[in-house]
Amino acid sequence: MTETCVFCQAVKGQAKVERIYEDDKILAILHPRPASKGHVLVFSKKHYNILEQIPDFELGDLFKKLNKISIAAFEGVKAQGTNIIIQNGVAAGQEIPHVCVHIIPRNENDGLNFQWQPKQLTEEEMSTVELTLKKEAEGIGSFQKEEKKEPVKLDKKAEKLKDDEENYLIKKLTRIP
Amino acid sequence: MPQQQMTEEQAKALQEKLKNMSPEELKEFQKKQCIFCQIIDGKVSSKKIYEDDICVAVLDINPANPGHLLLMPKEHYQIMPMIPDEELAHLSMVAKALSHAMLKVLKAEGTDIFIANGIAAGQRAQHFMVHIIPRKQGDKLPLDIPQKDLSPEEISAVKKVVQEKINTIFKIKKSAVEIEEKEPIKEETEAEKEEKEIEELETIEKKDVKKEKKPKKKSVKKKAEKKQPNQKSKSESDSSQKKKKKPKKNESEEGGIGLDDIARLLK
Repeated sequence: MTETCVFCQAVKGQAKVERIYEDDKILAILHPRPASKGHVLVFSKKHYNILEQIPDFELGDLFKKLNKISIAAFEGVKAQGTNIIIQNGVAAGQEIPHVCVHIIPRNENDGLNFQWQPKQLTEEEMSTVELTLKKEAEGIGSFQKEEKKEPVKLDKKAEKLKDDEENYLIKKLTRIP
Repeated sequence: MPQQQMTEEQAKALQEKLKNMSPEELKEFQKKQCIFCQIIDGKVSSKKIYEDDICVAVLDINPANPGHLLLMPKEHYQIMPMIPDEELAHLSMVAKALSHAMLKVLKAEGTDIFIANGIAAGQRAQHFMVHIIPRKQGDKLPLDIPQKDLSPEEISAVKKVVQEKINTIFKIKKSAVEIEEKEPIKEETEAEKEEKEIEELETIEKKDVKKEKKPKKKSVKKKAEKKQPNQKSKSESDSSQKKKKKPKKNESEEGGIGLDDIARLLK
């Protein structure tokens, strides 16, 4: 997979790209065919097909740098705003199977429009979605465990992690018949 | 007509009031005006899907697709550059987990993570939020990113200006060119530190000699101090502070020397 991936080739220097930021984890390049001037792509050097495959701490690290790069793009081209977009999966418009974050500097009347038409859902449909998602979202929080491996961490969080882990263990215990 | 005059006056009074507010008061004021802060506080009802100490995710009442979520920090930030690093990192992890949940239980075939900073980018609320939108093949949402052709000249012009800003924000100095040539990064920062130490020493010396220009020197010294230890965290807070003030006007001159050379060499 990584041999044929354009971004992996870019990382190795086999494809010609306009690099604007690089460190050991991520690479930021100018989009060769941008939506607007200053359109930047930020991706991790390691090959991940979709967002869900990126380890939490790596994603966090990427976003910290992404924020700064977006400021640079914004100020560099003197834009009036920015869009940050991740297209995750072919159905979402992802074209290259190496997940990347788009930074698109925006100006009024720049001809871009990402505004969707709101859908009207019935109360019932809304509650169904709410219940389904809420149930699944109850499991969220385990990502903090992975974060534990992260070298930089706040003390506050460390305490919270402990608690969470204990809770998790208690929950697990109750499940044992 | 008289009504309009009233509102104008009111607007003026409001502006005056805002001007005189301290940053804390201003923040409090914005928070009171913000519907999403009220949602977060539970004063306005919503369909909360996820909540922790830092953020809340609610169902969008005007969804692009069923299951469209708004992930918001509990603290009131207007745009992404204002958010502290750790909070943003946390938000990204939660966004990932929520996106995963959508793929799993809503049988979405993909998700879009969408952020708008600024009215020009389509931001409508005054509260920063991450849209997480479940996608299905052929749902015809206008989230495809169009592609345009730029001439090589235009591209290199854009690269030059963006590169300059990146070098300033990430505090990459001339030596950073060597990073491109696979030099270890740690050495760079050490060299930088030394440079700044010398810089600082020089300013102190000058200050001793010329006491007349004291205030000016002081500010220079401050700058040098700011940059010195703990480089990463300092630079982060620096850049976020810069953004809080009018970012467009903030043409920081520090580190401006030699940036052109860097840009040229990087090509």
